[in-house]
Amino acid sequence: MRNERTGRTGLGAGMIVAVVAMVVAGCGGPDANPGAAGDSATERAIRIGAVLPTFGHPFFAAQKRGMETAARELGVDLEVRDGKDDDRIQLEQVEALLSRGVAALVFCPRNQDAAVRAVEVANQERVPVVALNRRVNGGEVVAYVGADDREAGRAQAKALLEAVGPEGGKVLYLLGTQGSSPQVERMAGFREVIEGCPEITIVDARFADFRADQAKAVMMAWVQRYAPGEIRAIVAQNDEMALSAAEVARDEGWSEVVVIGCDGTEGAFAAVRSGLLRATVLQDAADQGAKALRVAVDTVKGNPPTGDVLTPLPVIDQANVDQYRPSY
Amino acid sequence: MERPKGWHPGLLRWLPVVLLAGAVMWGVWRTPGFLTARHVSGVVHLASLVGVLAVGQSVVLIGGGFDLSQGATLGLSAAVAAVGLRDLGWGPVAAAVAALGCGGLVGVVNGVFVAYVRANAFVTTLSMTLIVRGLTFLVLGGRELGGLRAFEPLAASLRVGEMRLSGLMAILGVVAIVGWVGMRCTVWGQHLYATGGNAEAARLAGVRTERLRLASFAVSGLAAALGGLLWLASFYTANARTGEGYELLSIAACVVGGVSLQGGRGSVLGAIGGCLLLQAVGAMINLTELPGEYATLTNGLVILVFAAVDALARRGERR
Repeated sequence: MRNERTGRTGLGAGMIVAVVAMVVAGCGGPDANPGAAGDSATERAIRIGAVLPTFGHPFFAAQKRGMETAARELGVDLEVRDGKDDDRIQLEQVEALLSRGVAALVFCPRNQDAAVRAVEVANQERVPVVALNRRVNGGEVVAYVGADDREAGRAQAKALLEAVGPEGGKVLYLLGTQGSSPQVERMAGFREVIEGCPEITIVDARFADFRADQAKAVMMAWVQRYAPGEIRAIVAQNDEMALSAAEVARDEGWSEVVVIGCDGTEGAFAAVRSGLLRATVLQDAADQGAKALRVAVDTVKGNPPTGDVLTPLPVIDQANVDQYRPSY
Repeated sequence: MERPKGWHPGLLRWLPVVLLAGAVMWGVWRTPGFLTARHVSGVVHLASLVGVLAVGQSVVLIGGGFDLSQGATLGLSAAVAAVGLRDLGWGPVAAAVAALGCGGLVGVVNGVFVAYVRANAFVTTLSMTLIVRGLTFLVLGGRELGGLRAFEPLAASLRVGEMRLSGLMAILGVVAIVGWVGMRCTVWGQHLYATGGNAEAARLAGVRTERLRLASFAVSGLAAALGGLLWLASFYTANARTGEGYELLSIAACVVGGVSLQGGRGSVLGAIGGCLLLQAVGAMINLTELPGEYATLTNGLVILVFAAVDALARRGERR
């Protein structure tokens, strides 16, 4: 209720801004913008626009930092907009950036389907779009940069198989926000691998919203339902939930249980070092942001990428934790 | 002084609520593994964070206000304490004082707008949520600060047999007693009931309604800030989303606990009871084979049923 209201207010205000901007900037038609850029001292800087799903989550904040650092290195102007976790606001931000005459767009969609319209609008304006971190199910993008969540789910499954060995066992699975794209995709990737392994059984899966508090509540019920030693492993769709569950498990004397997270946060790195977590999957948000920006700038300069740029998803465990830095 | 009428009604008026709570408790009892000392104390431990917020919320509601900014305030306080501990090298005491100060300040600002400017409480605290969330992001610089164990002792627990008695439970107990005594046994509390029940009548009777209402928001802000410290004590981490949605949990706890959204009626202990009940229902779902897909739906149904039963029970009052 709250979010919807704020969304509407924001939409209304944003719409007025967008309309005014279009009237002011769009009078001379699309050709006016390159001309204007040329006037200001021999096309000094390329202007790139970026729209992220939300600034509220540290993952996207790290993506933003990565892009900004790369923009400084490349000497381009970068304008990053907050999608406020709302598909409509994302569309509006894309339109506003287009009317401000950006040469290319880096777009991390909140939802793969709802984002199609935004990409189509950019296509009509002939502004190249780089899809960051999540794919878009339509429109034309010059490239996809990132590592998809399905692959992260597969990586978790592989880390699990390696940790439990051939004898397998019972696994508990902590899910993120019901119906969100990382929840759906990570689960699909995880299930895909686990289905071929009869020695592993997922005995229960619960939604905990990607949050520590909810994971703790779920885990406290689990320690009640299952005896110590009965459960071989706990897999959580992000580190926040994994850490919270691992703490409860440790307090309740589940000393042998293997806990696997995802994202590669600072807290998870520390926990991997201390042994509280067996492994996590690192998604380097800053690196993804920087790569996406480079692809966008290269495209504007006439060197579009030949294909998608897939960033690696290394499994971080005690053996290699010191070779990487946390995502955020 | 208009003390809420029907404060000492027959037990009859409470019967529906008692029956409903009984039904829930029966479900709890039938859920395997729930009624063990270990698990019950675990539920109370988990409920204590929302319980503290609900105490603050009930004070505001009784005074005729409404505070949607609690979750955001919790987040800001946790962030301020986290930044103090991590970046500024503060000790836990300084961090706690700063966090409580922030929460109190947010409450005072809410109170000034609602009581003196006479802005709508819903709109004021809704916009305050956005302001405070924005501030939290700036304070943290978009980072997540983890591994902060300075407040861990607050959540430390003592095992007495199978029971777990934790610091959080003790804090909830103290907050409950202070809240209950403050509302029931002081002039301040009685005046606040009067203000929430009928502000105009209270004002004519010489109650300084503006000041009281401001104070009630400050109490809620302080409670949210304390919630932020308890959050850090339990989860050692703060990010820009910390505490999201907790305002709705605390309002739900108050509704289930019989605190009126119209003001002037209800009690601090009721709010805590509501909070424990909701936590118990959630834990019950987690303990049974009922798939997790139904948890959100069930929570909504429980709150709706409680609100409806309460409304039906009150219907007779006006006749």
